[in-house]
Amino acid sequence: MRLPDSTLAHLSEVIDAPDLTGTKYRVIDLLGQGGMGNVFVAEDTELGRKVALKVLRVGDAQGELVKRMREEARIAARLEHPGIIPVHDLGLLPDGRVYYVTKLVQGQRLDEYAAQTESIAERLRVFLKVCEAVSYAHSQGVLHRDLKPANIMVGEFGEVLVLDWGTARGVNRDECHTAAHGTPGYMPPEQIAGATLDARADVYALGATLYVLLTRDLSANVTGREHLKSLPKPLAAMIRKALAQDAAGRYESVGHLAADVVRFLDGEPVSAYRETPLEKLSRFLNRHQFIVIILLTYMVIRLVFFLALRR
Amino acid sequence: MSDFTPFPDTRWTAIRALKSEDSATRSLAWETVSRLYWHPVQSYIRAKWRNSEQDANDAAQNFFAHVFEKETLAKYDSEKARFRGFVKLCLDRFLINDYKARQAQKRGGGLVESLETAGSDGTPLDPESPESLDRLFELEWRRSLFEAAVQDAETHATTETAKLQFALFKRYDLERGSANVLTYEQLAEEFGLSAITVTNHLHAMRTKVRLALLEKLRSITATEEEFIEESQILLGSGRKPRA
Repeated sequence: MRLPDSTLAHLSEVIDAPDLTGTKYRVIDLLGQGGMGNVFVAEDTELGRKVALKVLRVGDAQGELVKRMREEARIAARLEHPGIIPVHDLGLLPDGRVYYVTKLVQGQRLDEYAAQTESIAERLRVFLKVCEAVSYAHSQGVLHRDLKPANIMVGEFGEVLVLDWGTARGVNRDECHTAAHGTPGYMPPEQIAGATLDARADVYALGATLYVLLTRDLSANVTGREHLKSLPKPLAAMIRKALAQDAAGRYESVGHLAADVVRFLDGEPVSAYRETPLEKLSRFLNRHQFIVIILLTYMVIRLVFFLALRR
Repeated sequence: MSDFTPFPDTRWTAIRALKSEDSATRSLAWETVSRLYWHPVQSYIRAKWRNSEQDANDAAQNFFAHVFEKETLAKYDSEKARFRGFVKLCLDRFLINDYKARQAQKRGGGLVESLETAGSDGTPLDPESPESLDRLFELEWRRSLFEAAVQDAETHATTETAKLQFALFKRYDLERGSANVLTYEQLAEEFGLSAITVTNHLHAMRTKVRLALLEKLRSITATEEEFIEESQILLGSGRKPRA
């Protein structure tokens, strides 16, 4: 028996569709495909609302995955923040696959948002909201461990939501130095090596995310970050500092990174970059344009009067 | 009751068994690998050399005989590549050597024509061939696994219920043409069942095929990471997400 291409495509689709018999959910559409599974738009038939339903691709032979997922759901549940996606439900399909249900976010992924937003300042303000959410999670003792543009949504009203706390771990938990969960290009060396992690692991991922947000270069994880030179030097230095190979060379917290972003937006010097005198002057003139123009105008008028009186 | 284990057995894989001391275990592993890779290898050779089906069959046979004799597949190192990539690499090397040997024989040891510029009949190969050949190899690998899974599901459908489930699955999912696709209602009428029974039976058989598919995949992957990565390729190529 040889399966024609069309039958093969059909089978790939239908056998991967989750069997939600016995649950209160009904699949409406496929939303996305990720490394671990698929995300569907589903209807919660009891409450009559649309939700996002994530189904892991592979079954759970030893029940380890369910245990891990429950732990993750508990972690996410204790993070009550407007920038963090709430988890509604968690369960097991008849074929052994784990599913979990979250709020359905309408909006754009961060990289899509970046592609459509010209203003660097606007993109940096969105980045600050991401930092706020991650910083809050850290204050609750939780690391995300898989921050990347695909896990950040910008909603219709400019709200920012950090998704997929699927690989999140408590900062002080033993699991924090287990296998290398995460995404190449966004994982710091210590995470790839399976070493102990702290907040600086998320700082690294945020540095890589900031790079994509500002350069729109999605190939960074394969080709290196070649577009850094196209950015203003202070921003490039901030990204380099966040992406330091040695955790000790990075910002010590997300708050410190965010503070540098705020300084840049306010036209102040950033901690990651030492300016030359000329750059200091240029930044000063740029920041105080109005006062400088008034002063210059005043001096020109004085000069004109002075010359006129000398005649 | 289904004969399928609810989850693929994570202890046995043919890849590890290829290195076994026990010859019976090695033979079983070899049979598993060669059965699942026969079509990808044969189709790849046929496309690359533009051979007739019979010539491609002979060449595939030679390749499997060669790697069996040299125990090449037992040298696979899961830290360096996926097993599928390793098989293709072995195949490419075999074809290059085979080509050189045949050219040398034909010309009495003279200059060898470039493999990249000419097919076996002397006609130039498609410049895009390496990429399209890779895609072909992957497609045939997926097809081979799906076919083996469907065959397993049919073999294990021994009870009346399971036979009915497979018959519905065959009619609705395997025999569908691009036009005039049956509705669940039409299928229900054809089999004298209610639409809800049809839906439940189809779900049940698709689940069995899915489990059989993952079991097959597990048998030809060496590590959990490889299994998960390959499952993404195997199952993630059907329906596309909405824009």
